[in-house]
Amino acid sequence: MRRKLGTLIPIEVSILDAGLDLKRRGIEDFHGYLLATEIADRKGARRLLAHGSLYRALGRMERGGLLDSQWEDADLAAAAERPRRRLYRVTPAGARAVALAHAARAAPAARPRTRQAPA
Amino acid sequence: MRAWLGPVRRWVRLYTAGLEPSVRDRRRDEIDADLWDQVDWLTGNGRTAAAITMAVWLRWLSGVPDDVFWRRDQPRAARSAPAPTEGRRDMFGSGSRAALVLPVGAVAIAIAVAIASLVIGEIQHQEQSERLVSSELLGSIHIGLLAAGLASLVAGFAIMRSRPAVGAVLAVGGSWVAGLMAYWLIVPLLIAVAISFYAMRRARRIAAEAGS
Repeated sequence: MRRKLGTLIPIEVSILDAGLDLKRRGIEDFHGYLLATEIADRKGARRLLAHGSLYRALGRMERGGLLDSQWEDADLAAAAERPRRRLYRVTPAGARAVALAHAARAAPAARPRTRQAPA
Repeated sequence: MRAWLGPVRRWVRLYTAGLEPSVRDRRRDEIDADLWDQVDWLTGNGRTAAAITMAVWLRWLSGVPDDVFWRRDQPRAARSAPAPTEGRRDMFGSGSRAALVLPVGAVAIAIAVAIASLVIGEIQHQEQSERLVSSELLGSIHIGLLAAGLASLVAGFAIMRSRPAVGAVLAVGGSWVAGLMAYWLIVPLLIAVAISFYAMRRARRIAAEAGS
């Protein structure tokens, strides 16, 4: 099934929400594992997003201009004696897209109910 | 890296094999870093080796379908790159006649196995009591049909490059014949559905590429 162009699926909304939340807390660039833990914490889930689901979505969102990414400084990773991380950042387009998604979701609920006048 | 990460890393190497080096290395390095972070965090929180293994494997296994779909999307994302299936086409022969040798041979062998199974079952039927034979005959039919189904499935994917429609029919038919041999289990039927879906998508894409 093909989704409507320009709409976000739940995993993409979760990623953007978590990314923007991290940004508000001063973490502008985030890596995959941090994102997975953040999403799990927000949902109160015990299990983390699977590697396949997470990185597939991240790649798709980057191609769509919702995220931007770059490798972290190799020296930094070497100093910490761990592999180099890929760091992601929510782009302005990503922030707009998730705001629109939330607005679209809230719209039907906010619409006032009309009652038919008695005849 | 700990030993329990071996299967995960082997799986990542498998499904990224043959891709453009930049795409392949990015995926491998990214998952490597993620695994390191997860194990580091779990270890730091005092989890046992068994708990870490369980957490990592569950996370890995639940994402396997997405890994497969991600891999499937890769050639589409890099259409400008040379088609990776050229070598495979050479292996099976590019002419339509040569391409048919493998599937026809495979199906013929499968039919021969099925007939042989039935004949053996029938001989046993004459030699033994009727009660024993009926189950033997049924078993022979099962084995024969399973072999035919699997052969048809393999043959279908083998000729799909040169004959997408025939390949799709053979693959779909084969997967269902093989899947229905264990009709009381849900997993083989689900696998048959997945294979059918994949075979039809692949055949359609090949046909579209050939037409463009």
